[in-house]
Amino acid sequence: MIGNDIVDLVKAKQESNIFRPRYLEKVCSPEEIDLVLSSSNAINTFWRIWTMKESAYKAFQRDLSFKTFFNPFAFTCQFKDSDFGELNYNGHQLSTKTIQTKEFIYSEVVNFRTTQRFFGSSSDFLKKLKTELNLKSHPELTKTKDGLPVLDLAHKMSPISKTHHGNFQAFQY
Amino acid sequence: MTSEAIQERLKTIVKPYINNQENFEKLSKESDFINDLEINSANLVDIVLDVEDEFDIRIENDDMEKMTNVEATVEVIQKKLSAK
Repeated sequence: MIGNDIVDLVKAKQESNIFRPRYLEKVCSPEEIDLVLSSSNAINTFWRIWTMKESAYKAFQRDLSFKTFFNPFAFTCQFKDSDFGELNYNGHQLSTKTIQTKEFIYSEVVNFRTTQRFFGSSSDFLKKLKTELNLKSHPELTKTKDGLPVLDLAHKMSPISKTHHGNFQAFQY
Repeated sequence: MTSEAIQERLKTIVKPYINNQENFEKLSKESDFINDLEINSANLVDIVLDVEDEFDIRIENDDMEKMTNVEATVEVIQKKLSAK
């Protein structure tokens, strides 16, 4: 399973006020709200939870092929340690890993099979893949008929998750 | 309230959050908040809250879940208004 999500902390500060009345209640369970409000950095803790939920949404969307919906509340999080967490959705479970820097918070779904991660622009990413995989032509980012992102490597299609916010972009594949 | 009138007010609500001006100008029932208007998903929460304030309604998660495009959002608002 793949699914990732990134939040540019500077842009998020401009775009969202998580302390707006009823905001947290739309996204978080009472336990998650406790985690946010008892944290020494409530905003970063909120975005950690948010990116965990978004990456799980993307992974489950591919796995369970559900139609687009908007209900972050339906995904519940637990922190295992400062990086790893667990996500529950409708009886399904997965693990996530979160990377936090001063500038961004990034989460991705953790797999039994190893996945690759790339931070940077689409063009740099595709260039790197072309060299790495020794491809004749540039790989392309495209979508399945259900709207899920895939990598067209000419000889095969490979699932990919991409995320972009503000100055940051990341790929899991 | 007619669905046209609701859609007009919804258009004003979503305006501050859109990232695709061209698609916003030709906004229709089919416009998708994320794919067409390129609204950041965290701002969908703001849209739900703005809708609640603007129409003086409360939206539960089951209804929020559907609010990913203009038509479904107008339907949720209409349902809530008629239940008032």
